[in-house]
Amino acid sequence: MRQEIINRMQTERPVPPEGFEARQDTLLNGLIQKEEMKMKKKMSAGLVLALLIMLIAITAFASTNGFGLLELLAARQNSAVLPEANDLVEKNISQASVPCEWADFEIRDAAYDGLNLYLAVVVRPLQDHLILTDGGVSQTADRVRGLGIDGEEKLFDYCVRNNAVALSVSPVLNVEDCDVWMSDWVWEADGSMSCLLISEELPPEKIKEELAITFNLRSMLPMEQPDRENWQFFTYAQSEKQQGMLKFSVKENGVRETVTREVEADFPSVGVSVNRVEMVSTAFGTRVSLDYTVVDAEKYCMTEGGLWFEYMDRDGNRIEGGVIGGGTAGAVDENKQQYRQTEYLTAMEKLPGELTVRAYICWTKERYETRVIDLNAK
Amino acid sequence: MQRMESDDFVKTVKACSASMFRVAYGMLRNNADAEDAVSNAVEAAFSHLKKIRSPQALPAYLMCCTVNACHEVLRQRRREVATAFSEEMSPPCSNGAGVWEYLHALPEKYRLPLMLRYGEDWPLNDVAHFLRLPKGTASSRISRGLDMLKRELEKEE
Repeated sequence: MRQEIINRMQTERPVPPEGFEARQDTLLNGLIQKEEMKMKKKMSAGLVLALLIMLIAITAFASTNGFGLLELLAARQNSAVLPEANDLVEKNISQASVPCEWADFEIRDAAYDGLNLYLAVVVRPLQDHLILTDGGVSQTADRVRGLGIDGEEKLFDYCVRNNAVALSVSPVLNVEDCDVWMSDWVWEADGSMSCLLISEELPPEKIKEELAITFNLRSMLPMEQPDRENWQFFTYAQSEKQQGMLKFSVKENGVRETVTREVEADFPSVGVSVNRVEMVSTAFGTRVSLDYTVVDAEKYCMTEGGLWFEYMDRDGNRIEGGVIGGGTAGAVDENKQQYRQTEYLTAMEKLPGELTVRAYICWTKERYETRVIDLNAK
Repeated sequence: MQRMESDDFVKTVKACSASMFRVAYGMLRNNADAEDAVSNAVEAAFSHLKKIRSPQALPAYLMCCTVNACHEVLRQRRREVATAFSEEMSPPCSNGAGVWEYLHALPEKYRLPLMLRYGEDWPLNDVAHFLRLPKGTASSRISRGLDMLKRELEKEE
């Protein structure tokens, strides 16, 4: 009887009310559109910087050099790296490209800072009618202008009018549990795509092995959305795929400085106590790991999983995210009592003697206790 | 591990939204509130998209957001009405047929774990995580809920 009830629960599932799906579609489209608008704004600022960088690059190098790692980084927000990052950048990378019919690949330069791998890769289209993109659902006018297409025309319209095919380019690193993502990219005058790729944390022993990035290229089919004016999505449905590859090796480098401290800092409003802080400094950024234990389950539950610790400087200003930015937090034990938050902050010439930590709930945007952790005390 | 992209998000939400709605309805027992809760959950998940490291993790994250969004609606209702929900059996709701009608009538503390575990096929660990319950408690509530449902169905027959 129990099994019969379970089977019935699965086969007799009620359906949502009429119009639910359409309303969800509207919500999703709205969210994506808002995100695109944000990206567009960000891109406008980025474009001005990119132009500036381009001018500098043209002056400093031959114009044929294209975008290297530091130029691509400089075109982004929160891109401050230490001057010694320059010493870590390898120009003549040992590499072998396995092109596909659509594109060829080359690493312009790369750096490993002891934590992450940074690569400037150029993907060159091998057929005139192909346009390389990162596979975003639409391409904004700002991006399209970079290709020399009329600024008012969207990539979708350009492709239809010129029988061009847009391709999405997506990189995959050959290291297990280590993703590589396209952090930024620009179109160059010849239609090549200069990409800034950043890996997740890569242990130094993996750097000693031969690395490879597989590039998945997929054609993007335009699909009109009848219920929305002037808005088209690209979809991957029934699209063609090809793969290319780059094999390469880079030099191993160590991190600059690491500070680890066992501490006892209570945050009673959110029911946790911080036990350990680790700061790792590289020329490209600073990784902060913070371990905490739930000491008051009721208080902690009230955070509804939205607890995040912010880091502040001596003046009480939030320390900015770095080149990598963002972070993760999650339980490190089965009982969900011990948690670790890892965040990537801007590069620091010298690690601070103390770190100001403030509890924050992302859902309510409320801030709670602030504690100053002495990183010098052993 | 793959990084989340907007189109992964859209695909996953489309695949999960009916399940999210059923769970929200199971908690709120009102179509409009359930739909609002699903929308709030989708918005909350989208705003944290960069923190979700893998598309595979998204269905669980969405369900977690749905349960949180429903708790928020329940908290508002409690503030507005200032009455707690009865833990006694309620009359069957109109949304759902057959076994689900009886499932919706179970007290919330049994209804929700049971619905997530067997109605939506989530592993016990995830059910416990969504509801912030110890695994043993989630398991016993599922089992007791199933027994209650069985008794109600037997009465009917």
